[in-house]
Amino acid sequence: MSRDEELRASALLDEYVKGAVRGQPIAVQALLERCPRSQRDRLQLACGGVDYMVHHLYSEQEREEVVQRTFQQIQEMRRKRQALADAEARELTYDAVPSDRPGDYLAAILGMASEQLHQNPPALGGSTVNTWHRGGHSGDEWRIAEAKVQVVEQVIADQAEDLLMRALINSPPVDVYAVARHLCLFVKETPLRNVDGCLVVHGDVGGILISKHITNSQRKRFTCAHEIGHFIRHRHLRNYFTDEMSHWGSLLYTETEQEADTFAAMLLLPPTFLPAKFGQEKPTWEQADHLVETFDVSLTAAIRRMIRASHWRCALMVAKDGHLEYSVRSPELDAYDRRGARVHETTASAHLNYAEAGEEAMIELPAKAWLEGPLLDEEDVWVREDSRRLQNGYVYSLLTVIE
Amino acid sequence: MEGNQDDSDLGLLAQLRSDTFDLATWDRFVRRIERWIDQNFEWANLDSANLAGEAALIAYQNVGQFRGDSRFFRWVRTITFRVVYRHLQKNKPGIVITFDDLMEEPAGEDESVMAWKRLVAEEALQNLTEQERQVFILRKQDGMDHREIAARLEISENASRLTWTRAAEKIGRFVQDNDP
Repeated sequence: MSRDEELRASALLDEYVKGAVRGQPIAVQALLERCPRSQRDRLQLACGGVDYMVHHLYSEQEREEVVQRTFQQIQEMRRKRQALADAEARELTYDAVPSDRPGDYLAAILGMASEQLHQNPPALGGSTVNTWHRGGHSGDEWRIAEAKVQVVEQVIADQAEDLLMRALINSPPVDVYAVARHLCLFVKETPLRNVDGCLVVHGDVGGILISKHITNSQRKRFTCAHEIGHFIRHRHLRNYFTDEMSHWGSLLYTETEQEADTFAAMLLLPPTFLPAKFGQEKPTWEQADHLVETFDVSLTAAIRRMIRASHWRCALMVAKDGHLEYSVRSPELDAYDRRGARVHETTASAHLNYAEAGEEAMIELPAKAWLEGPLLDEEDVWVREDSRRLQNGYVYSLLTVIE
Repeated sequence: MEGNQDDSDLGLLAQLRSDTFDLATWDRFVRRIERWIDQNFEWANLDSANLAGEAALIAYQNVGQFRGDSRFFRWVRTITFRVVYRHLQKNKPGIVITFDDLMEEPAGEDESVMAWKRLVAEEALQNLTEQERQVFILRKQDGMDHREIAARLEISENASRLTWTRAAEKIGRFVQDNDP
């Protein structure tokens, strides 16, 4: 037998192992057909040898470590569950706590002193969130910030999906309260003032308060998911979070708030529960309404998720009383909004400012009526605008660049 | 419905629910899951011990959700399937597997046969020359390519390739003669 033939057999054995490692196994028979005749018996034995070792030569020590480690985790789970049960057994009413700080109430239930609460003041500006308006950043900085946001979105999506798998939630709508319970977080509704939600963490357990003043169950679900987001992503930073959802788009909207919102969106609308082609079709009101119904989320949450996942150049523009309050754009859209400015009179949004709730309008118009920035360097760019006036007086506009 | 459970399943279920199991019971539970992973996903070359540990933890944590409308270990298998599926999604995207294609129960190899096979594998490794053993371990366990092995062992790349095939062949022959 020649050395070349032996080397050929060796290359085929490598191919066999690579296939196995990639999870794309190659049939031995197919390899034998490509193997020099003199080497076939050897290659067959070698493939069998590698297979046998893969299945039977594992480290007993490694397996014992897994068993020990997971058994220890069980002891920790038992401790956490006991701590949660102890907290829940403390039947305190909100009025029983002298201060009006929701954190003090949660601290009392969790058996910790108020002085142990560490709440950082909200940071103003400097966030990657506030990058989509004029003067926010130069072109390159904006692209870098967008790339960073996309990486964070991917990481958060993975965390949310892992959590759903561990909590055995397999279909929409996601039971966020079960997810909270799974994490040893109790959830209570109380009449909070000026606050939608609040989280206090004590060791590995914690409590979430949701304002009784929120009448919309979808908003309550989102608030709970948002607080879970703080628990998963930020509990190493501090142990007390208060949130007001109307901060969205304002200078009080910090990076941690954006992350918690992204987490909430990924938890309530996780990638694996969404249609396989989600993001590939142009965003429509019909698609948004379907998400609202299937996933039991607010229209805002549904559209934000839809826009951020979109492969199209599109955006959601939110206006009130004829002024642009905030917007969400797709990763592909290279443009800025004019936050705070009066909505252009040629837009459907301006027309709906005086319309009845539920009314819709569609128009195609030059992109410059809504947007600024690099997009407008392209010649004659137009957008399709699909607008709807909501019950609360807001006008939501879906913009899609006409390609 | 829980009357349909195997005795062993019922015992395990009761222990998990009442939180009264010991390390030995937990070890058997993890091994049983691991065996199922090995038998159904042998092509994927997975770290089955770790995946089994994760699936066992999820089963323990959610045992209150088991309603008894299927056999207990079948429920555990659906959990294990999701753990493996998620692992493959993250690490080997593009692979499509469905739960329906998978084996109901691990084929009935008992612990003593498994232990014997493990001994055969260890002896097969001992049966190699020092260089063959080194090349085989660096290639199979550590995933090194022949250039890296050649540099590490100060041999030529071709020598690494030929030694690797020879080692695998010798193991295959040893296993053929000694597998229980």
